[in-house]
Amino acid sequence: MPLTGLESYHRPVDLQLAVDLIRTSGPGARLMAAGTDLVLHGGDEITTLVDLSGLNLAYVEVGDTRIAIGAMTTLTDVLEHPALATYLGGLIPGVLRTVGSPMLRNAATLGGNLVRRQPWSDLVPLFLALGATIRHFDGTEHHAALSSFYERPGHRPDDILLEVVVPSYGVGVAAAFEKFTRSAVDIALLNCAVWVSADRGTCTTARIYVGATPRPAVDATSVAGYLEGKKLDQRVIAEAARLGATDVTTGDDRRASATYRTHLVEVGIRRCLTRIVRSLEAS
Amino acid sequence: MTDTPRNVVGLNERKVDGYSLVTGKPVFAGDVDFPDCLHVKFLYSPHAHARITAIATHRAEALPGVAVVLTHENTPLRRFTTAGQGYPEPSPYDARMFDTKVRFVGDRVAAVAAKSPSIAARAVQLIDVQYEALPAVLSIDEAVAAGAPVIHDETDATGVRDPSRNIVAEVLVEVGDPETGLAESAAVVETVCETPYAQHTPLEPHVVQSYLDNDQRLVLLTSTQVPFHVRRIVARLLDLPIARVRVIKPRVGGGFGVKQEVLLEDVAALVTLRTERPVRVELTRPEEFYASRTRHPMRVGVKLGADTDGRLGAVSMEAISNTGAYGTHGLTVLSNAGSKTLPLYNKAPHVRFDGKAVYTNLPVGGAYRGYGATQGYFALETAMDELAEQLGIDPVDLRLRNHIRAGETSPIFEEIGEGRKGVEQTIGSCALEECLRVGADRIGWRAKRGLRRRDGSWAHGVGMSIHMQGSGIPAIDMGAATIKMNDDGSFNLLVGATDLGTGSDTILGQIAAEVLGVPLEKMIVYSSDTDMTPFDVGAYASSTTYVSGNAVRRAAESTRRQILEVAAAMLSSDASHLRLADEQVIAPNGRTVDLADVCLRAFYGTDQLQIGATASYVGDQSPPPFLASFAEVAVETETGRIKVVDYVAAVDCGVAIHPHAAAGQVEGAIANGIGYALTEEMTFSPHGRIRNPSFFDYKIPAAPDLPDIDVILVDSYEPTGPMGAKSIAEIGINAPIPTIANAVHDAIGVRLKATPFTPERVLRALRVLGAPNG
Amino acid sequence: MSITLTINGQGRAVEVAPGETLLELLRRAGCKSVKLGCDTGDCGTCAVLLNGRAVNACMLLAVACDGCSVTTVEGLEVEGRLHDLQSASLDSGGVQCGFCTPGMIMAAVDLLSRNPHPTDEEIRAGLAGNLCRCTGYVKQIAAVRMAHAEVDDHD
Repeated sequence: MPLTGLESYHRPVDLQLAVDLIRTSGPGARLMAAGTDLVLHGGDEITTLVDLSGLNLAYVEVGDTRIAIGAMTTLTDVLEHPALATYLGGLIPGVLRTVGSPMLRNAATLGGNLVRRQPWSDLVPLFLALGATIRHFDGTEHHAALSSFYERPGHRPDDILLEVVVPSYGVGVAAAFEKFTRSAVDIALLNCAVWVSADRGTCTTARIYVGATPRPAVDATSVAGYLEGKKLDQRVIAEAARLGATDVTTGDDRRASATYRTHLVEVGIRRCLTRIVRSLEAS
Repeated sequence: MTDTPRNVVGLNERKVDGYSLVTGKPVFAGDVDFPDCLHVKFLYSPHAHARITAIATHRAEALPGVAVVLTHENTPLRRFTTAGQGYPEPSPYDARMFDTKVRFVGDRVAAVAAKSPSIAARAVQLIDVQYEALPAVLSIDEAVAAGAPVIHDETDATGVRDPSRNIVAEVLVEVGDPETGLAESAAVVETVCETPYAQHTPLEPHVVQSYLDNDQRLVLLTSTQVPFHVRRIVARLLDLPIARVRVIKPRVGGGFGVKQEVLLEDVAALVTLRTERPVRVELTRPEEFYASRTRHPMRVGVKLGADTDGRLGAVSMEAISNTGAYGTHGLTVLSNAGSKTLPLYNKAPHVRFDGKAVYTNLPVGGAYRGYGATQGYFALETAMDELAEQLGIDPVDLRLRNHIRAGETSPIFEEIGEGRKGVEQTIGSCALEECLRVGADRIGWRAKRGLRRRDGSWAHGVGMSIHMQGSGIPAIDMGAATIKMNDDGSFNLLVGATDLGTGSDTILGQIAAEVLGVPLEKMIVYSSDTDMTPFDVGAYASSTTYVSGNAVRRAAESTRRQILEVAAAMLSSDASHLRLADEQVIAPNGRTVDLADVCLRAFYGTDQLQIGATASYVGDQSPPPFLASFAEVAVETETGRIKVVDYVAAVDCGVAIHPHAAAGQVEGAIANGIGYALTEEMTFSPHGRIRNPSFFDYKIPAAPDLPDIDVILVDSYEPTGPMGAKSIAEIGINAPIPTIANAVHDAIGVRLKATPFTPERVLRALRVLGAPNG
Repeated sequence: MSITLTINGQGRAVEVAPGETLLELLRRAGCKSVKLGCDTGDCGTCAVLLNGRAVNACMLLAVACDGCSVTTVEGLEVEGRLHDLQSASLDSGGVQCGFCTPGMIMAAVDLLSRNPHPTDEEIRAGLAGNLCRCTGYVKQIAAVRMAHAEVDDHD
């Protein structure tokens, strides 16, 4: 039980109250989603937890141009939502099926995963590639790109992620995800998420994120830049994959070597792009 | 084969302990809460090798709630082995409860007992230890290098072959003239295979609770495979009369060898004796990895010599085993690498086994399902596949030309035993030919082998291997059973045999029920309790079905004779004319008497007696079960990932007393072996600290990782077995490594010689990746 | 801190320490079927139903479960009749040591409640978080198959 320093627990039903509690409870105060990660890795410096489960943030809202997912929606509820089964060919539930075990997904939340931002997170690169935006609250409500949320300097314990929004995409857009693991239930040794908008087979925009390098997901901007304006044929795909392997820095850890990870960057990008082309051709 | 009709044996009865397990009753050692209980936490060495120059416990002792702190300064210093083996143990006495020297990261330095686990954990941090760090030995090669640091430099250890050279044990056996035999062979192959540290990972971590009963006797409620060895070892270590110690083994949540060890009972006992309070000691999952026991890593080299028809003329095996910081099971695991493998190819006139077990400053090896044979078979069965390739002979045919048959023997049975000479034996049953035929058919061997079929980025291949193990340790391991009859015609069956999840209580009950002509519900099976049940060495070495089963059979037969004697008087008949069936004794004239009435008369009528018996069994041989193993794998050549898509194990375990339980043993062992082949490896930092002590990073197979393992029980009858049965618990684990390695070779043409076969290793073998770190 | 919890249908008010996990609470409350196999959410031996969904009790704070309903394997037997999954586990031979069994059954209860006719692949995925070292899962998967066939028979 690593949360040995915990003294108080709150489950506010009001956003402002949640922020106030965090601000007035000292340096050991933390926001908590499901807590599955905090309970394991929290540390004894945590003295106060503010549980977000009373804020009605568990929902999936389907609009004409977007799907909004409340931050406290469990991974299972995201996975099983019918609207997401058809979104980009069921990409999101497909990825979620590989995240942890059913028991973890029944408890863990989308917001918790994105905020905790473990380096091996599959959802971070996925939602970054999808161009997700977020609503968050620190006394005032803000709208921002998910990517900018990660670019903010410093740690903000009083900033509550409320909602993650993915835009609806029409014809000419496809996305793919690839994850490499040691076994069926495992964190990624490396993962990559690729999103492409194309016009008659020629890439107009691309977003490529590579995670678990073993550092947190990075934007492979050179690959995206290379792809833009190119016809997505096998040669271009191979070259993009090679470029990714060259430009994405990988490292060793107890799970895989940098050499192997670099090899996987190439395989992953190639596979994602190949799948994307197939999907674009089919649409 | 016998045609005796069976009423209970051979049926898939519900487990006798099944109801309590599926309803979650508190049947495990950790499920009982004792009032005023103390909790123990350990201080472990942060050094791989160091001398303790000073240890100060006063700050820990001063913490409120701390009851006692144990170190080498206040505990017995006599050396012993934690290995739960028969007496005298073939493992060296090289360990102390707490020593003045630590020999691996995770070696025990001190223990704190306090009123809560968190206080104990805090107190552990308050123990001040000064270490003099010593150079460490972190591999087999470093252990045997000239001038290597001496790990056991103490003078009071016994049973170590050559401590000055870090050598725990050596075994050298030669039959015929292997060197000449190899030189004169038309075909020779040589292969060297390596297996790393691995852990058993029973889902229940070690747990023991101890307390004093109303007569001030020490009671240990413990998750063990060896209750009687625990009683003996703890009593000797702590200078207690055995009469003062009672060991109770409740349900056990898996063992696989790691609970054939006295790891925690000594500490629990000593704290209870010092404080007179109940004590609970349990390991966390990380502690299971570094502070319990592991599979001995080995490097095994095999040379085979054969004629052009593939008939083996010479088999030579060299094994070097890393026993870690202490020599538990060091000699015997090493011996088994040869003794359980080489007799399989008994036709070769020239055979050699040269083995060495060495100390390192790494976690301690122990008993682990397969017990050395797993390591030996990797090299032997890889070499056989290479020989088949070299000679252009189908691997199945090569095995058929060479494997042992019923009526045959091998000199190795006699040459290598358990720390001493073995026992000559002739194989009484062997259905390996049939196993090979059935298994090959089922996997589609002839259709799939050698095709190099591709399916997208996946390359498919099939591989196979064959195996034998044993049924107990002959002439050493004894099991006993007691049966007593009750006045409703039910029976208590009391066994020292240790059901640790295998279902042995059920199958022993079936054996007794079969002999006594009653349904299984009439057997009340109890295991194990050193006060209540007769002696049994415990659950290891695939002994229970065969050794304990034979003891049960004998006890039941003796009980049966007494029943018939009493019934003879009631039926005015001669006992020799009576038979037992359907809970009745039946006379030739059709008159019957119910078993309940027999017992009522025995209790309350005339010539009163308790009907029942205690019987013992010690095998004069160890009939091997046999297995033919086949797998189809798919190798993703882009990533190096291996998927086992189909697995078939055709086994000969004699008569299966409980087919589900027998198949279940093989399924579980194969699954464990697939894990060992593909993902499982304990890895260490350059300072000898384990890097992956969790299920998060030490990957054992989950349901989606495995194919539907198809176990085929091939018809066979072992004449010396109870009801024709042999033991089956271990053999399956030996198969996946060589089977998968050979299948990978069939798929992509490269040979993998070190487990686990990780994607990185596969890509390096394919030369897609360069050497590590470069 | 005091919370209320429904455990196997019975409302209980319990005192919990702030950092206590649901696993610790349940064992303290007498539900010994909830096992501690790893304490890191990797093995599934502590799986229970929380408001009908299988979760690892070691990964949740007890205090955060205030007001929730928990079902453990102790709560499955009704009036002396075993749940279909309990019976099927016995009849398929899916129980060996039995330490993973309660968690495995709870995960399967959740699986069948959402997907009454899972394929073998779906069963494997549904049990992916429940480690077993004894069985190779063969007969545990058979038990789920057998149980959903029995569910059909009841229909």
